[in-house]
Amino acid sequence: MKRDIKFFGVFRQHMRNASLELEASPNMTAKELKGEIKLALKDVSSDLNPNLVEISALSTDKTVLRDTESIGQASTLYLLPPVCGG
Amino acid sequence: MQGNNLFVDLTSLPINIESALGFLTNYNCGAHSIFLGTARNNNHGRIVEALEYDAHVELAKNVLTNICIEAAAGLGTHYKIATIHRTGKLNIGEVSVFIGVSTPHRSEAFEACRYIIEKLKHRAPIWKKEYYSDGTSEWSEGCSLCGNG
Repeated sequence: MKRDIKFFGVFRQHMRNASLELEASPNMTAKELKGEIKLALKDVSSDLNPNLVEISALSTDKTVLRDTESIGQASTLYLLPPVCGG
Repeated sequence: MQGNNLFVDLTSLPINIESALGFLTNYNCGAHSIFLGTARNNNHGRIVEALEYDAHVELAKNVLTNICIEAAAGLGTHYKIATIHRTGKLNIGEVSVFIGVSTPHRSEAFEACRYIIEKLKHRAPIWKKEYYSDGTSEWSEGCSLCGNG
């Protein structure tokens, strides 16, 4: 199943507002998909700290996914770097 | 998101403080605790000239609503809570976040207001970029959401 991965904060800047399309099955965990994203981002942006993906979270439109959680059926997922609101 | 007691929003426009205070008006409440976060002109010894906030708006509204509901637990029926966060570019001195809590008595208003801003900083999908006087800019380091799902 094709997934559209969208980015925020520092990732959005490195991706120049572009998204990433990846193939991922519904039972893949968030941590596993982050591993795929980390590999894909190596080709896109060489000066992005690769460890940032590991401490970032995946989410749907409605909820943040735990690393051990399956990504399910959502066609769009979001990579959320550490947050800094307020 | 607006109910009778809660108002949560993210906006790219300057926060309308007067309107937010109007929402908090409740004649059953004698205490109104307000927290305003504003864009500061310095950080770690560097001169900051502007801020920019990025946000996952739909998710942030859900997260902030949940935080406000948690803060309201035990407040009974007479309370009002408004939480509004800016997005986009802000000049120094502009309000980045407004949190207002109205309750019958002061202690629960202070407590709920503090709870909301602390949880917002750790859980809301919002990101801040600082623009410095030397022409550079940096995204601020923050709190990982891994494990907060």
